[in-house]
Amino acid sequence: MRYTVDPNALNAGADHIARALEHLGSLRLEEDLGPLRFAFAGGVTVGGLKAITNQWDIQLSGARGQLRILGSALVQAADGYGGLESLTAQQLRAVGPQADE
Amino acid sequence: MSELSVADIRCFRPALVREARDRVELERKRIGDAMAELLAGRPRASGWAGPAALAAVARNADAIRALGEIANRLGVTAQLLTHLAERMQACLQLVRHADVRAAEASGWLNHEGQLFLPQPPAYLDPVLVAHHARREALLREEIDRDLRQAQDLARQADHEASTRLRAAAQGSTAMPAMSPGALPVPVPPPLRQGSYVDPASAFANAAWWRALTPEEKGRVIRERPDWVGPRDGLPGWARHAANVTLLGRLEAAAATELAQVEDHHYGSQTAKRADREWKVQRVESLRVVRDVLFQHDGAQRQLLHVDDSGPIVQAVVAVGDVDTAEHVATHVGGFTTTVRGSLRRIDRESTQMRAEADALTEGAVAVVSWLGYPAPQWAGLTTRGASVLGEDLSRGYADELAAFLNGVDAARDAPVHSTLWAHSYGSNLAGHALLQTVSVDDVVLFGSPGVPFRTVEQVGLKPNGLNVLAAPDDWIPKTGPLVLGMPPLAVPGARRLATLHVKGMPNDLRSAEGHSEYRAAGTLSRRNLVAVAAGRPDLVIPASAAERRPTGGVQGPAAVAATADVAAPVTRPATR
Repeated sequence: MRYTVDPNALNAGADHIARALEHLGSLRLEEDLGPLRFAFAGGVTVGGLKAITNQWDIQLSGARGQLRILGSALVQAADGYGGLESLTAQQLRAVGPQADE
Repeated sequence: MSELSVADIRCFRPALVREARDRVELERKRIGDAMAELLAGRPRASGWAGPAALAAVARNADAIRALGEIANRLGVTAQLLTHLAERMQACLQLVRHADVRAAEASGWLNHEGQLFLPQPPAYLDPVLVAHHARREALLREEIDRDLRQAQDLARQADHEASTRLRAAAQGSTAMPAMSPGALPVPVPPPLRQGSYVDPASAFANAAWWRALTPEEKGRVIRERPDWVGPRDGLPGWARHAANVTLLGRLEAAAATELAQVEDHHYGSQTAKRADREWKVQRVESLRVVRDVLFQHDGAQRQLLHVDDSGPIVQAVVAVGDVDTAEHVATHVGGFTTTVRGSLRRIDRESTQMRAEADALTEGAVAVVSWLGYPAPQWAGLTTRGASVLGEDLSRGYADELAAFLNGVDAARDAPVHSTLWAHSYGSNLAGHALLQTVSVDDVVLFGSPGVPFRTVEQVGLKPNGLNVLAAPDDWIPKTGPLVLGMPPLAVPGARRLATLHVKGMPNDLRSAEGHSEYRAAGTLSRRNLVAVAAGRPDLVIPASAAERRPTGGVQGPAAVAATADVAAPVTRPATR
C-alpha cells in the first residue's frame, strides 16, 4: 500500500470543518420561522409549524453529525499519523546509536 | 381543513412573513459559508493520498452535497414564504376593497366582515326605494364575493404553504416536482353553472383577479387565456390580450376544419352543404372580428369576448378603454344581428358615437358593441327557442349580459357611469337582464318590441333611468308587444326621448325613420343616445308633444308633420 500524508494538511482540513460547524451551529430555524405564529395565525400552517421546525432540526443535526465524524476522523488521522511518525522516529533514534555501538 | 375567518385575515401580517423569509435566506447564506469551508478544506492529493484519503474525500463530498440540498430546500422555503406573504397581502387587499366599498356607501364592515349599512332615506318615491334596494343588493354581492374570495384564497394558500413547507423540511422525495417554491395560481371560479351564468360571478372573478400577483396575471394570460378572455369582471386590457390569443387559435381551428370538409363523409349532400356553409361563416365571422379589431383608424379597441362554440360566432368589441373611461355605453343588437353581417357597421357607428359623446363630456367614453348572444335570425323564425317571436333567447342570454355589465364595473377601482343601449329584440333581452341584480345607471331602449317588466321599480333604475326611443313610423314598438311583453312606453316612469324633429329642436339634427335609423348620423335619436351615455341629462331632448300624440294608423314624420309644431324635415346627410 502506498500513501502520502501531511498531518498538517489533515489538521487544516479539520479546522475548516470546525469553522463549517460553527456556521451551522448558529442556525436557528425555529426562531426564524417563529414570527409565522403571529403573522398567519389560525391556519394549518401554524398548527404544523412545530413539526416543520423539528424536521429541520433533524436534517441539520444529521448534517452536523456527519461533519463532526469527518472532522474527528481527520484529527484522529492527523494525530495517528503524526503520533506514529514521531513514535517511529523516536524509537529509531533510540535504537540507532545502540546498534552503532 | 381549517377555515380562516375574515377576522383572521384582518390579523395577517405579511411583513412578519417576509421577515421570516429574510432570516431563512440568511440561514441559507450561512450554509453556503459552511460549504465554502468544506470545499476549501477538501483533502488534496499533495497533502494526503491513499485509501483513507479517498474515503475522506468521499465523506467530504457527501457532506457538501447534503448541505447543498438543505440550502436548496431552505431556498424553496424562502420562496414559499415570499409567495405566502403575497397571498396574505392579496387577501388583505380584498378585505380592504370590501371596507372601501362599504365606506363609499356610508356603511362599514365589522371585524368579522359583517356589513352594516345606514337606514335608507325615507323616500316617498317607490322608484327611488327600488333603485336604492338594487344598489344595496349590488353592493352586498360585491362585498360578499370579495370576502369569500379572500377566505378561499387564504385557505388555499394556508393548505399549500403547509404542505410545501413540510415537504421542503422533510427532503426532496416529498417535494412537488414543478415549481416547489411557488404556490400554485389559485383556480378561478367556474365560468358558469350548467348553462347559467350567475351575474354576480363577475364580482367573484374580479376578486380572483385582484388576488393574483402581477407575475401570475401575466402568466395566466399567456398560459391560460381561456381563463381570462371570457371572464366577466376582469380588466379589459387583460381580456383583450387573452382574447387576441384565443382569436388566433379559433381562426386556425376554423380554417383547418373548413379545409377538411371535403375529406369528411356526410350522409347527404345537403348535410355537407350545411356543414360547409357553417364553417365558411365561422371563418368569415372570425375574419370580421380581426378586421374590426385591427383597423387603422386611430381608435383603441378591446376584444372583450369571442366565442365560436354556439350556433353563430359571438364577439364583444369595445372602442375606447373600458378600464379607465368615465362613461361606458354597451350596445345590444337585435333581430338578424350577426358578427359577420353587422359587426363592421355597429363598430363604425359605435366609434362615431363615442367621438360624439367624448365631445360632450370631460371624462373619456368607451362604447361596447355586445354581440354576445346568438340573436334571432330569419332562419329560426319558426324554431322554438331561437325565434324572434319568443322570449326564450332573451331569457337564455340575459344572465350573460348582466354578468358582462357587472363585470365592467367590478373590474375597476373607480366606479363607472354605465349606460345600456338596446335595439329591437336586444331591448327584450336587456329587459330580462335588468330584472337581475345588474350594475347599470341609464338605459335607452330603441325600437323595442316589448320588455318583461311592468314598472320601473321592478328593475330598480333611478328616476329617468329608463329612456325609450320609438320612431313614429317604426312598427316594431307597436306590434312587438303582441308577443314580447310590455311596451316600454307603457311602463310608468319610462321617459320618451325625441326621434321626431319638430320646430324648436336643433336644426343640425333630423328625424330618425323606421326601425333601423336610431343610430344613424345626424338623427335626434342618436344625439339622445349619446347625451345619455355621456352623462349629460341636460342635453337630452325629450319627445315632443307631437311625437307623443297617438295619431293612429301609420305614424311617420309625414303624418305627424300635419301637426302645427312640426318643423320641415331636415335634409338627410349625404354621407349616410
